[in-house]
Amino acid sequence: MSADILLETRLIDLIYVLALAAVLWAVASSGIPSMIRLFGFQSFLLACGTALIARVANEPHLLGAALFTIVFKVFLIPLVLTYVMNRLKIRKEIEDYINIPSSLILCSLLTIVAYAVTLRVIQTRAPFNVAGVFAVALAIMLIGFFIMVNRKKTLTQILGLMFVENGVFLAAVAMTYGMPLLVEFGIFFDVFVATLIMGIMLFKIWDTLSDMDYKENL
Amino acid sequence: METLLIITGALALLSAALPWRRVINAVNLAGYLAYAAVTALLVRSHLAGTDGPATGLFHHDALTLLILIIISVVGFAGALYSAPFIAGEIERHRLSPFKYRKYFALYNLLFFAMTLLVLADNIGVMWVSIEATTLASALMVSFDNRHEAVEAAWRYLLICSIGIAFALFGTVLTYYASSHAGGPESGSLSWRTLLTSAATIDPASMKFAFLFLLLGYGTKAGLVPMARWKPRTYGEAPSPVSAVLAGGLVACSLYTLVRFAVLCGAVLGQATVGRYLVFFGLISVVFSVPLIIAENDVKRIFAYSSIEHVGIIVVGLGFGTFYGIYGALLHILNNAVMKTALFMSAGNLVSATGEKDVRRLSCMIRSTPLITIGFLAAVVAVTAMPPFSLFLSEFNILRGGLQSGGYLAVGVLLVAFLLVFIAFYVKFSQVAFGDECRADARPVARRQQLIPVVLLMPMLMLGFFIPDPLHRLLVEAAGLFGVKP
Amino acid sequence: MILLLAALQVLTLLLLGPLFSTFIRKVHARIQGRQGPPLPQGHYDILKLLRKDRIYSVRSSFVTRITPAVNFAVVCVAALMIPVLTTTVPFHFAGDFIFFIYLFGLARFLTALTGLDAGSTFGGMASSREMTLSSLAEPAILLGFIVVSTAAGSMDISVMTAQLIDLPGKYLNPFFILTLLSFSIVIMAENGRVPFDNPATHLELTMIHEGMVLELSGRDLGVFQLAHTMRLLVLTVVALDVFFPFGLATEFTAYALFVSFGALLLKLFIAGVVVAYVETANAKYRLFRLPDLLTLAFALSLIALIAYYATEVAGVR
Repeated sequence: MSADILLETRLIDLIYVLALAAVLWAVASSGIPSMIRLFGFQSFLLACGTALIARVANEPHLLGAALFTIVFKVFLIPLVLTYVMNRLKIRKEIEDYINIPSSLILCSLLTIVAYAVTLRVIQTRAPFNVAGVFAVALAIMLIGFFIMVNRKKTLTQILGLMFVENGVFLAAVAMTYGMPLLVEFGIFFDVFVATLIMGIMLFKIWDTLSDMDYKENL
Repeated sequence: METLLIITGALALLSAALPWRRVINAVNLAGYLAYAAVTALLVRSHLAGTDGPATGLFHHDALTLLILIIISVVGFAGALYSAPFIAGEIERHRLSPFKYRKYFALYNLLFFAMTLLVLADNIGVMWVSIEATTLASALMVSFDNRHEAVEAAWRYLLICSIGIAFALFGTVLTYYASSHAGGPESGSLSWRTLLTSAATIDPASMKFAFLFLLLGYGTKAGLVPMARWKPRTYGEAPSPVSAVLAGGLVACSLYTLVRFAVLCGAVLGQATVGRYLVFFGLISVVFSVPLIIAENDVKRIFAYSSIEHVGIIVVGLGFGTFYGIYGALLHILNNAVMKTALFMSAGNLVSATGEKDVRRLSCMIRSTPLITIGFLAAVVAVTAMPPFSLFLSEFNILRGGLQSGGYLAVGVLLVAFLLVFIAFYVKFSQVAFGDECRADARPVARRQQLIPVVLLMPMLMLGFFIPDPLHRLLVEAAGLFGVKP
Repeated sequence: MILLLAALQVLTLLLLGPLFSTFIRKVHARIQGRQGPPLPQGHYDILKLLRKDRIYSVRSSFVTRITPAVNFAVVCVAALMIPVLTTTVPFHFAGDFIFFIYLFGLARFLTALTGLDAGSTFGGMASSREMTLSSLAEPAILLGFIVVSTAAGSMDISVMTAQLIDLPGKYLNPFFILTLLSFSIVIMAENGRVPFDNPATHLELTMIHEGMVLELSGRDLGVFQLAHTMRLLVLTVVALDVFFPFGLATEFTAYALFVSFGALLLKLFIAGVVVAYVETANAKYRLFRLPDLLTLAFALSLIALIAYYATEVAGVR
């Protein structure tokens, strides 16, 4: 029994570090389609990890949260973003203020910060590695925020926001086994509607712009 | 109290469904009158001590009731003002008539979310409501599909969404901090429970949570340095939208800040929390004043004024003494009503002349007397001239500051007030009494012109005397912070 | 005993080197629906080259003459330092992974000079690109090794491997996965595989590795190609044996060696398929995108190190 739990704990560690690698890869990637795919992949990883935590900590409502993650963040939101990207024929290359190698180094520093902060905040012992997962969550939040600030294209900014939301969800799962299911559903639904409305905004901007040059910078 | 939610929800649905303008207008006005009536009843029963038993999800105390009063006033005035304005916009920009229903559906959704926010006891539900207000209002800002409006709405949406994400993290951290003592199942999302068990909440995590909550909800309220979205959004949105945002939504965001300030004060000590509040409030005031002086677009000037007043309120909360908090709470009320009137009168001005730049407006008193009177009255009120009630609330805040020993802060605030007064006087006296009089003015509905004036009258009255129920509500709300007169 | 082991290791890698490269080519071809070369093709090519004449440019110096030999020597020495079939290696000392990496640095240095030696422009371009990429790849692989050595508690490659055989749950250890990812990227970079360099390209403007050896011919080229294929094998074997050390013989008996050899073949088989798949799935990146990938490898190793330190060492669990 304990060996099983150890295996699952290790799996949880593995999953969350892969999620961190995914967001780093997103910083390194230079195309919007690959970023969307990485977001879907990361959300899938988070859902699996949440399901595992549900088993390890005996919290069945987390399975509901995992299901929501899959429905909303693995399918619906990437679908909406891809649709917007294709309809608006947004150019797929990304421009940024800081080039990719430097931003990767910066993100590594941000991860160090996240770990340092975690050591101050978390002291509990739990069936799984709460602190490690929380550190990864905080790192994903900071790196997602960095992506939002660093990139010039609007669609990548939305993606950065989505990564930040993923990080917050992960932090919630790690620290408090998520939140009551109703609240979780409200949060997911809100995030999804926010994506929809952002997509609508992009359509409106596209429609109201007459200058071709500006459209390139969308 | 759930009736309030039902009212606004029903209004939203009906506005979306019914195709006739007059019917929509009538339904909305009736609805908001009912809203105000229910609020009044709630206030009466609360003050008489005959509140119904608190149900699980909802709870109201003096603070909730204060904000409900604001919401009902702003909602009613906004609905009255919006009707002719939006009709005019539809004609002018040749938008589809369906937009009318869409606008009011969104309007009522916004108020539904705001009502849910103040009635909810669960901090998670509070978060969901604030996010919903952002989403509904963003669509309203981009309502007339002008490029500048759409871009402003996009910026608003993006910046507020980042802020809200941080606030969510803060909420999660709060939940965690409350569960720290007894293991993860013992945490609570109920604000009431959190407050009563404040002694058991882990201060280290809570400090962290407070930072994120302040940054996150402060973005929505409009604290510097997160308030970058305000000038453009308030400037480019249709005037009734700016009015409702600056009046109602700011009050609701401040509501969340107050709730969390109380909670964090109970956990971390009022002094620590107060320091951060005063800091952010002061830099908001300091940064907005030069921008007020430099800006020339009338609605953007008022947007910066909104940032300034939010800063003043937060400073008042930060002072932590009775007068500071009493003044801050009264200021929330005053600011809400006054900003609504301000943006509405600015909207009137812009509708009548089509001109947003104050440098090109002059001698308006001749061509549009009623509008100009309303505008001037609103401007005078906002600069805290007695006998308007804003003077009273700012005076109380300053008094609270002196009481708590924040002499530097009080000095900065005084200088700011003076500078803003001079700026407003210089800019707007030219608008009203300038030399070159314009003869042409587009017709503006009489109703539209009257509303700001009507709104300002209670403000005048409050400057002289505060009715007892209001006073008792304010004292009770201040009591949440643990201070007494 | 040590001598026997040394000879065994070098011989194994010598034989398997060209085989491994040809295997990758064959899998690559099969994925694309072609037959691909027969497996001994790599050997045939090298033997053919060894029989041919050498031609030197009049402008080239002694560097061109010694580079192939030095490369081969370097790879053989490196082959002696890594665990191939057994956990004990003929040649090891604490901190030997740094020596290992800089051995290859020496070889790379001489090869880059060879590219410049004959005075041709293509060689010069290739040399400069190679140095750019390796200046980024070296920190990444160094950091990767440091992570592994921190986890294993030793700076000696063979001791690391021995420790890691017993480490529980190491396969799922997140730091290893990150370091493995980082290693993989760097190995692809060091050996000039897609997406860093196309080994099958004949366009000089896009060559990195091929460009540097444009001027080599005959026996020199044969030796160099052998060294090149062995180098890929050596780096792959290091990664495989450090990260997946099952099957390694802990005692020097024929049976254990046989099992170990079989395990090695299995691991190389899987690695070859993975490399071929990655090569097929990606096109060669443009030069300015390559630093992105290499910095990603560096960042992944750095994260692995931080994560390891934070959770295991600082006791945050």
